[in-house]
Amino acid sequence: MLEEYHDEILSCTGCGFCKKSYYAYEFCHKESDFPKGKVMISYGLLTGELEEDMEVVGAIQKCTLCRRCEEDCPSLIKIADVIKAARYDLQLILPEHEKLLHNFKEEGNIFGEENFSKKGGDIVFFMGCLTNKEMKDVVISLFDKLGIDVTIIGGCCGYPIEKIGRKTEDKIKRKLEERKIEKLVMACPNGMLALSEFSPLHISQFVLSLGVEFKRNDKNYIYHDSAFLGRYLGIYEEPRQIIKKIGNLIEFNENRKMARQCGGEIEFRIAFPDEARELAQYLLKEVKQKEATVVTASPHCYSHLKEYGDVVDILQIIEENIR
Amino acid sequence: MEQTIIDKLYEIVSKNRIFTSKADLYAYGFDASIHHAMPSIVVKPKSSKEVEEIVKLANEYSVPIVARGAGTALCGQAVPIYGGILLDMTGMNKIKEIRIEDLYCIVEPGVIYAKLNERLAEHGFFFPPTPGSGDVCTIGGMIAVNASGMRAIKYGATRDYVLGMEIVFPYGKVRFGSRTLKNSSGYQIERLIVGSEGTLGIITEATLRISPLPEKRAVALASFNDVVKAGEGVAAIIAGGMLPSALEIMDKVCIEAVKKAMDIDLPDAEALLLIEVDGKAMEVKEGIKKIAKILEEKADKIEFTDDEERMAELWKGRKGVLPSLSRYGEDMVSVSLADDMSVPISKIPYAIKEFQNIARKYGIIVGTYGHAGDGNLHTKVLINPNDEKNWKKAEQAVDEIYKVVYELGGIASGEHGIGITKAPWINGDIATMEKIKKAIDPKNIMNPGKMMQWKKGIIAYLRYK
Repeated sequence: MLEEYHDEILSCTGCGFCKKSYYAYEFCHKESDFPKGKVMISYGLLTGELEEDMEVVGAIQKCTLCRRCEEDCPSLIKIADVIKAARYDLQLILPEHEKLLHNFKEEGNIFGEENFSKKGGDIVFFMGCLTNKEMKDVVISLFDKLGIDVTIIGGCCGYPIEKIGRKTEDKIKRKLEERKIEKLVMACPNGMLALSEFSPLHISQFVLSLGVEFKRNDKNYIYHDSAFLGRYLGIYEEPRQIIKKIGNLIEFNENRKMARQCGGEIEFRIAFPDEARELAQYLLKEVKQKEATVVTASPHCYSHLKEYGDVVDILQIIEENIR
Repeated sequence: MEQTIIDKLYEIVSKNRIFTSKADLYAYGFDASIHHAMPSIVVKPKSSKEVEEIVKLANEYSVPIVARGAGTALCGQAVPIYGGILLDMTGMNKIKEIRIEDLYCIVEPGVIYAKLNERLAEHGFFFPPTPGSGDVCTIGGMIAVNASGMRAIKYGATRDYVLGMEIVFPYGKVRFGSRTLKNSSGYQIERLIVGSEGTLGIITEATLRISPLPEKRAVALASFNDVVKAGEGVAAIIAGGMLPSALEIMDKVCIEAVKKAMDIDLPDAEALLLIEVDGKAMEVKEGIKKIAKILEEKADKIEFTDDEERMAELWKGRKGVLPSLSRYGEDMVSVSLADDMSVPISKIPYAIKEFQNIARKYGIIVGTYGHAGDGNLHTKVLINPNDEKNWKKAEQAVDEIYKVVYELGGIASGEHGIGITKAPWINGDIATMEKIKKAIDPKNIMNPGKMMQWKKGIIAYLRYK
């Protein structure tokens, strides 16, 4: 896989501009903690100058693939793609990732939990592991309030497994192919990326398309752009439009394409909890100054950030405030 | 490396600041040059006391020792070609004092340039040398190579702002310089250390002069259908008694590279001049008017802006030339060769024309840009790094480029330093430099093999395999 990125890696001049956003964090302690270090290690693996060991695996896995560093890269290096390709070439695996992989294979759920499903009409909501864990009841209640007889399909989309560099089976895809789908809706950007061929809508896009009314309040909401919903899928405005209908929208200093990662991606935070905590706390420092409630639009971000501050997911405020 | 030395390093520095895994050594072996070599061990000191003890140990056992900041050097200064101890200085990152009323600040070497300026801006001041890598590079690295940048024409280079320094030589820790703006009290060794690229000692503290931030800035962007006309424009601005805060040139190759890689709105032209004027609002207004008058017959088009967003975009484009060139062609990457010559200001258009002739002769692409206002040009050679013949051609082209530079009365480096990549063209009397080096570092442990000590070809320790 890395072979495909040979020219991409050589285009990196090593200028180090990718370090810029990382200087905010204490956990960037050594060269391999920075994107440049990871690109160079990938090159070492590709040329055979470096052999795989757990130090190499740790360096290559300690990245959320959020693409924030790419915004500062003037050579437009696809840094996250290089790192992901390196992961596909690695044989060794972190013990925390081994567990995720085991649960995925055995249970079809990375937490090893039971997946909720429900039969209904042709509007299909794909639940995914994180939404299932954090907001299952909210999903059910929301579709009740919308008066839609939704079909809910549970299971793991496999994207977190792909992010650690392992191939996944297409069980969910097959399930979706077998049935008629008018619209496929999700609350998790990971699922949207894994199942992109079904043109899924994010819950914020779906609800906006219905033109529903919301109860208004005077609360300040600060919107946290998920890297995968934003930089990967280009969905920035719909969650904001919903927030503006409900309360006051406040922005992080760095937002949309420049938004910082919160550390919430499940495969990252279970392997690197200290780094994930620091990423979250950095964001929440600004939230404290701005006296607002954080609104996430990904269950990965929500389930992580809620450990450290006042956080709701877009799914929850939609369900709570829909008229 | 002997186990005894490693054991002793663990006694000096805590375990979590010593790196020995192959992955770490490999990653630390790069800077932003074409070279790569792995250290034997990486140590990240936290204090000058730790540095002192590490250097003492290295001297005792005759182990090479190389200091590294952010690893943005372009000529291999931070690449440990003979292995040994690599000191990651980014752990020493305290801003120790800011004395606005005395016009100085005291910093540790690992402070990031942009972070220092963020703090100084709170007081309405700044540390003016503006390297293109300013968002990420360290003050220690800037001092080591006498870095400067776009504003050197008006504000000078790092050396002009170093008032004092604490440095660890192989024989111990010493201090030079002062906290005063003037100093005529003996040898100014601190100025010798600026630009010494870690070959004499390790900087552990620097006292830097600071300047008030200008009230206003405005930028003029002038496009030309001939690079010679752009060069004449530069000379006319300087001869007209103007001292802009930046006066930058970009040739066609660079303009196209930036447009392609960065999606920045630049005119199609053979050459661009980017001119910044700063000062009081009235001065800026007058300055821009004067520049417009000077350039009106030479430039095809002139755009003016004092809009912060547009100015930031233009500077982003200029700063991004170097890495953007990497995206210029399919199989080509931009390599740091012949990257930083300085010529007398009036010679700039001739230099650029000659560089283009040389590129054509060798069938390679050379992009030229730089600080036209102070005569400092940057060229980047675009080649396929996997083709040995390409390297050979590039090496010959570089040699010819430097011959032209010398014929025009120029020197090999204005702000990036010598390292390995420009070693054959180092300026000044080598015998004297060798005597100074020997007197301070008799065992040759401080960044050995760099500058005047590098006697072989520049295509060495290549990072491209």
